[in-house]
Amino acid sequence: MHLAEIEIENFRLFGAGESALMLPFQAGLNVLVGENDSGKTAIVDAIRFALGTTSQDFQRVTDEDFHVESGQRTSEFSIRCRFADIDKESGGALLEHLSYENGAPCLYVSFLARRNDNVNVRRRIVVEVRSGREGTGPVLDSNVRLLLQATYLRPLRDAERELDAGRNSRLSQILQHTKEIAAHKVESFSPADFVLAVKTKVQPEFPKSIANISRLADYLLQENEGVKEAGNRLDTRYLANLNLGDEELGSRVSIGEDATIDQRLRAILEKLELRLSTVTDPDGQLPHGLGYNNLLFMACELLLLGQDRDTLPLLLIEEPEAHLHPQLQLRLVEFLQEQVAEDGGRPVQVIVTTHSPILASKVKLTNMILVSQGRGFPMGPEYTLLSPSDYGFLERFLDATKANIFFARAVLIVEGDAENLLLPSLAQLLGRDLTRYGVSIVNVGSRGLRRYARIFRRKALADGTPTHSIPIRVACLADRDILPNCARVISSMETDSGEEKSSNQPRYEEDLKSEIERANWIEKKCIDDGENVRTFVSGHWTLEYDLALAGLGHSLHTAIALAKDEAKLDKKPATTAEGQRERVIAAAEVTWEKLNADAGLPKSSKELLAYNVYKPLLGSLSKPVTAQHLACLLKSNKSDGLSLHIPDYIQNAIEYVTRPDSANAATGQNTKGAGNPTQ
Amino acid sequence: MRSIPSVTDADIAKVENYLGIKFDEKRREILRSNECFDVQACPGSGKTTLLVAKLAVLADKWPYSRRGICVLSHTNVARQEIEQKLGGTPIGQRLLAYPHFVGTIQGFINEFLALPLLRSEGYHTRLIDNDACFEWVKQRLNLWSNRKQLGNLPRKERTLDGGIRNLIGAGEAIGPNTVGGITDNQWRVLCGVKAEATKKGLWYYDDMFAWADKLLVDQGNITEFARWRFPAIFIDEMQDTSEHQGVLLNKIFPAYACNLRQRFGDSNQAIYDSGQLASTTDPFPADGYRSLPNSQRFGKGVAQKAHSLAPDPPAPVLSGEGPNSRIFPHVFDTAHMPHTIFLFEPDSVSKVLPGFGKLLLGSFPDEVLRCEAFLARAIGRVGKLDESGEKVPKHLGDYWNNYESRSAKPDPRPQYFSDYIHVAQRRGVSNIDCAESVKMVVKGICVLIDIVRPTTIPRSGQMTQWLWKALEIDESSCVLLRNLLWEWCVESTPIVEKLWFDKTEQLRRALHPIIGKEWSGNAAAFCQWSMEYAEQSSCRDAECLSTPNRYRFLQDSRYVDIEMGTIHSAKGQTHTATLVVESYFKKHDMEDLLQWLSGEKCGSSKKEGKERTERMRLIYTAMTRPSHLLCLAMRRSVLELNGKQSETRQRLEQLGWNIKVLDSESK
Repeated sequence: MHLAEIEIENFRLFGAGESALMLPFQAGLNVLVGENDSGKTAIVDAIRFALGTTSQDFQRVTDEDFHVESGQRTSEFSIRCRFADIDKESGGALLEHLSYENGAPCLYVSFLARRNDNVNVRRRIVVEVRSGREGTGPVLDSNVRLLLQATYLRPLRDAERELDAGRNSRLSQILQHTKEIAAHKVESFSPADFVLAVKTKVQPEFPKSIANISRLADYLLQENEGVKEAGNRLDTRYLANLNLGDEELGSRVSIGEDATIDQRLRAILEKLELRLSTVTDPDGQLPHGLGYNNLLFMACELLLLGQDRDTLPLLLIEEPEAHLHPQLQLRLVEFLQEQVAEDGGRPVQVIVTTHSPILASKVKLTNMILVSQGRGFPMGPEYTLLSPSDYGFLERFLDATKANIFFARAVLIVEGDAENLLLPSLAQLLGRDLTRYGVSIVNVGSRGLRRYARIFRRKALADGTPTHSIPIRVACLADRDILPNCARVISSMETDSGEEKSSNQPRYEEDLKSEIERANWIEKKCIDDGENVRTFVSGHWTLEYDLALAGLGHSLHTAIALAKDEAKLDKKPATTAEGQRERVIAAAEVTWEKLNADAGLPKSSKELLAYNVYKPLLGSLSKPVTAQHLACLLKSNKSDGLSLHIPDYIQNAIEYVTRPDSANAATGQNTKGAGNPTQ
Repeated sequence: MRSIPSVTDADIAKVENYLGIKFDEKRREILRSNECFDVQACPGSGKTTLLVAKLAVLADKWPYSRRGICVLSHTNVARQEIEQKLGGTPIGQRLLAYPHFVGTIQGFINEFLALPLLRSEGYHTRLIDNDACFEWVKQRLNLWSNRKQLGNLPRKERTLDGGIRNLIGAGEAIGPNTVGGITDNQWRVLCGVKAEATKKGLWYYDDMFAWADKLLVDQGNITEFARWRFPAIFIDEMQDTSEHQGVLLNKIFPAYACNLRQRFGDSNQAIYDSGQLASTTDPFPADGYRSLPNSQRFGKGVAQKAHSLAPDPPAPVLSGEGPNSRIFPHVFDTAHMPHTIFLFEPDSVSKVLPGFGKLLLGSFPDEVLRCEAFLARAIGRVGKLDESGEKVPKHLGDYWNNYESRSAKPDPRPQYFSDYIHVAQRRGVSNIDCAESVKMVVKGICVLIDIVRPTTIPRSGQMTQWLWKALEIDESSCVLLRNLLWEWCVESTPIVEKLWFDKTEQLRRALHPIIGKEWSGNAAAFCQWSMEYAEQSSCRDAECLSTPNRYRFLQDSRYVDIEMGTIHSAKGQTHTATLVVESYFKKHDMEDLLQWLSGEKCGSSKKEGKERTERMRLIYTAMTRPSHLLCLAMRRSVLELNGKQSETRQRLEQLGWNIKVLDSESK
C-alpha cells in the first residue's frame, strides 16, 4: 500500500477549485523540488496533518493554516490522501474503511479542519478524520490512526539529541519495535539458577532477552558483597535500634524492580544511546558533526520502517541535505533509491523535499516533482512531453549546475559558454539583473537544448483535456546559423571548403529564397515551444556575429584582441607585463579603424564589417575567453546608448524571463520566434 | 512469530475469579481449545458467559494491532454481556474497539462490506431499517399516480426488498419475469420508488446483503482481506442464523479457511419467524461438536420433563444443576416445585390463567413475588387470531380476551413533532444527562426540515453539530433554539396544547437561516398537537398497569402479574415460572407431542417430518425457560388419546408432573 495521491483544498497557499492541489505520488522515491514558498513544506505538512507522524512532535492546526482568498480567511480546509495497491494485510486491517474504484480497493483518508470565528466557543478549530472519498466514511479512531502514521524527519533536526538516551527517546522506541528484541519477550529465565550453574561449572545458556539480561545484572548486584554488607550494616546498626514494638524494620538494596517485562525493557532501552564509530574512534567516544549524526538517525528510522509491519512504510524527509557535504548528499540519494527498491524487505515510500541542486541532479528525473506557485508537477513520463530517449539523455547530463533549473523562478537555456558569460552583463545593461529576478541560466553546451526545454512541457490528459502549465518561464536562446552572403565569397576565396554540399540545408542568406522559407527555418527551431517555453532565435548567425552586427562590433573587436593576447600569454605564462592590457586595447583601436575602412561599400559594409570582426572566432580563438573580456568591457563602458545595440532576440528573451507579470505566464500565448529578423 | 494466544489454567482461574463463577471440566476444555469446533449448548448452560470469558482471556493476551477477534451473533446479547461484565475494564474496552468486532451479523455485513461499497458508489445511507423503509415505500406507493399504475398488486410484491438485486445489478436479475404477475408498467413504478428511496438513503436489511454479495463478486480478494483481519471468529446463537446470512458467512468464514472458528448455539432452540428459512449451508452443529448438556438455569425437575422434546436430545441427558440459590435471597422450597399440567374443558379455558396464578401464590412467598428478578410468563405458539370459535384453544387470545398482539417498537418514530418532545422528556427521566433527549428533539427538528426543504440535511455526521453550524450565521436563531432546548430537555417543562402553536412558531423563527420563509401543509401537519406518546411519560406505574398482555391475578389481597406472549418473544429469556399453553397451528401442539411429553418417545428423526420437528423445538424452547416452576396447559381430551389415558397419566406422574383438572364448575 502506498500513498498514491493527495488533494489539498484551502490549506495555506493552496486554494479551492482550480487552485486546489492535486498531486500524484509514486510508490518509491518522490523528491519535491522548487523555489522557496512554492509549497513543498505545505505539502509535507498536509500529509503530516492527515496521517499523523510517529515522532513525538505534535502539529496543531492554527488559524494561519487556513487559506486566505481575496482577503478573507476561509473557515474550512481539507486534505484527502488516497492510498492504492492495497495488499492483503492493509486491506484486512482497514476493511471497514476501504473504497472501491475502477475495480480495485483503495483507501481515502479525509482530514477536515473547521474554524469557528466565534471567540466564545471553547474549541475554536475542530478537526475530523474520516475515510471515504467524500469523507462520509467512519471516523478513523486512534488505533487506526496509529497504523497510518508516517515517519517524519524534520529539517535541521538535532539528530544527536534524538539518538541520546532518555525517557521516550526515539532510539528506545526504535529498538523496542525491533523484531528480534520484541521476539524474546517471553523467555523464562532464573538469575539464581544461572549463577548456580556457572558456579558448578555447568555452562548455562545465556539469557537472550534484554529484560533477562537486566534481571541477571540486578541479581548479581544484589549478591555483591559490598552491597550486601552495606545493607546488613544499615539493618543491624541503625534500623534495629529504631524498631517499634515487635515490628522489625529491614532494608533491601536493589535497582528498581520494574513490575512488567515491558517496563523493564523500556527502562533498559532508554538508557541506551547511539554513537557513531569510525576506524579512528571505534567506541564512538568523540562527538561527530550534525551531518553524520543525521545520517545515523535516518538509518535508524529506515531500519524500523523496514521491519515493523504495523506501521505505514511512508517516510517524509525535509531537506535531508542539511549539514551534509556534497559527496554525502550523493551517497544519501543513492541510499534512498536503494531503500525504496523492492528487494526482499518491505518497500518504503519516501517523500523528500530539497533545495539542493546536488541532490536533485542525482535523483532520477522520473522521481522528481517540481513544485511551483502552489502546484505540483511530477516529472514522470506520463506527465511530460519528454521522450524515453530524453529521460536517458537527461539522466546522464543533468548535473548539479543544470539542476538549478528546478529552483529557479525563470530559466534561460543557452547553447554555449559565451551566452552563459555574456547574458548577465547584457541583462544588466537592460536594467534586468538576472539574479534579482531569480533567473537561472543553464548552459547545455552544444547538445540537447530542446530536451531541456521539454522538461517544462506537460502532456495533456488521456482524455485530451489540457493540464496546468508549469508557471516557470523558459527562454531558449538559439543561433539562427545562417551565414551572411559575404561569408560565402570570402570563405570560398580563403579556404574553399565544400562542406555545404553535404546537405540541402540552407547555409547562406541567399539560400533562403522567400519569406516563407525564412519563416519556416525559424519555425523549425521553435518546434518545442508551447506553454511557458519559448525559443528566441538570433537574427542572423551566432551570438557574437549578431552582437557585432547590432553595433557592439567595436567592443567585440577589442575583446578578441585581448583574448588573442591571452592565448599567447598562456604559452609563456610568466611574462605578464605591466600595462600590457592597455597596449593591446590601443593596438585594437588601430585595427578597428582599418576594418572599418576595409568594409567599404555602403550596402554590404555592415555585414562585412561584422563578419570580419567575428572571423577570428571561427578559428581556434576561445569564444568563452572572448566573451569574458567582452562582459568586462561592457560592464566598464559607461556610455549610455549601449543597450540600444543589444540584438532584439536577446532583449526579447531577457524581457520574457524577467517580465514582472509572471502570474499571467501560465496562460502565456506563444508567438513563436520573437527574434525573427523578418518582423 | 505471532499467533492466537493459548488459554492456560492460570488464565481461566483469573477470569473465573473476575466473573465470580466456576467452570466445570467440560467448559474448561472449551476455553482451553483453539481448534475449530461447534458447541451445542443446552438452555441455561451459560454459553454466552463462557464465550465472554474466553474473549476476555484472548483480548488480554492479543498480540496483533491490525488483526482482531470477530464475534458475531444474531442479537446484540454478546455485546451487551461484554459491556455488562467487562465494560469498565481495559480488556472490555479493548474488546469492543478496533481491531476487534463484536456485533450482529447484519452489523458486520453493513460495516465491513456493504457500507464501504455504497460509499464508493456515491450512495448515501441515512437509515437501514425494514420498518422505516417499508413505511416510506408504502407512502410513496399510495400516491395517486402510482396507485393508478399498480392497480391491485399484492402488498408483498410492493415492498421491494426482493427486487433490490435487480436495481443494483448484483446477483441474478429479478425482474417482472421472475417475480411473476407484475406488468412492465408496474415494475417500472416499483423501480422508480426504489430509486427514490435509494436517493434518500433508505435501505432494507436485505439491500445490505445484496450489496455485500456484489462486493464479494466484484472484488475477489475481499474474503482474503476479511480472513486475514479476523484470524479468530466466534459465532453465538448460531442456530438463529438464517439461510442468506449462512450463505454469506460461509463465503467469508468457511471452517476450512479459518484459523480458529468456534460456533456456539443450540439447534434444539432454532425457532424462526414466519417466512424465514433455516440455514442449510454449513449446518450447525457440525460433526465433532462439543456438547454442554448441563443447565445452570433450572433443576432436575424441569430438565427431565423437557429432555425428550429436544429433536436432538442433549447427550447423555439434559441435566439441571440450577436454579442458582442467589437469585432470590429468600428461603422457600425450591427442590419440590409443583410442576403442574393444567387440564381444561373447552368451556373452562379461561380458568387456566387463574389456576396458574393461584399456584404461583401458593408456591412463592410475597418477598419473592415482589422481587425485580421475578418473572412469570404464559406463552404459546400462536399469539392472536381474529377468528375464534372452532378448535379452541387456537391462540393466546382464547386464554385471555384482553390479549393484544402488538409489538412495541424499541425506537419510537413519532408522527408528530410534539411527540418527539414527549419521548425526549421521558428519556430525560431515565438518563442522567440530557444528551439523549436533545438527540430526540433534534431528530424531530431534522424531520421537520426535511419536510420543508428536502435534501438540505447532510448525508451523515452529527445532526446536532450540523444544526448549530447551519444556524451559526444568525445569532438570534441560536439563542432562540438554545432556549427551546433548555426548556424542553434540561428543565423538562411539560408542553401543553394551549401554548404549542406559539412554540412551533418560535421554532420556525429559530430555523429561519435554514428553511427561510418556506412552509408547507405537511410541515403544519407535522407540527400539530399530539398526545400519542405523552401517556407513557406521565407516570411510570401507570405504564406498568396499562401495559397490554400483563394479566394480574388477585386473591385475598395478594397478587401476581403474569406476562403473556408468544414463544418467539420468549427466545433467550429466563423466567421464574413458565406456563406453556396449547395453541393451534395446523395441529394442536400438545396433542401432537403427547408421546414426547410423556417420555414415551424421545428426540426426532427424519420420519417425524419438518413440521413436527419444528413444533418440538418450539415447545422445547418454551419448556426450558423457567428457573423454578414449569407448567403446561392442554385440553383434558388430549390425555384420552389413543385410549391409553391411564398409562399416559402414569408416565407423566412418573416424570414428576402434578395433574390438575380445571372443571367448568370448579373455582
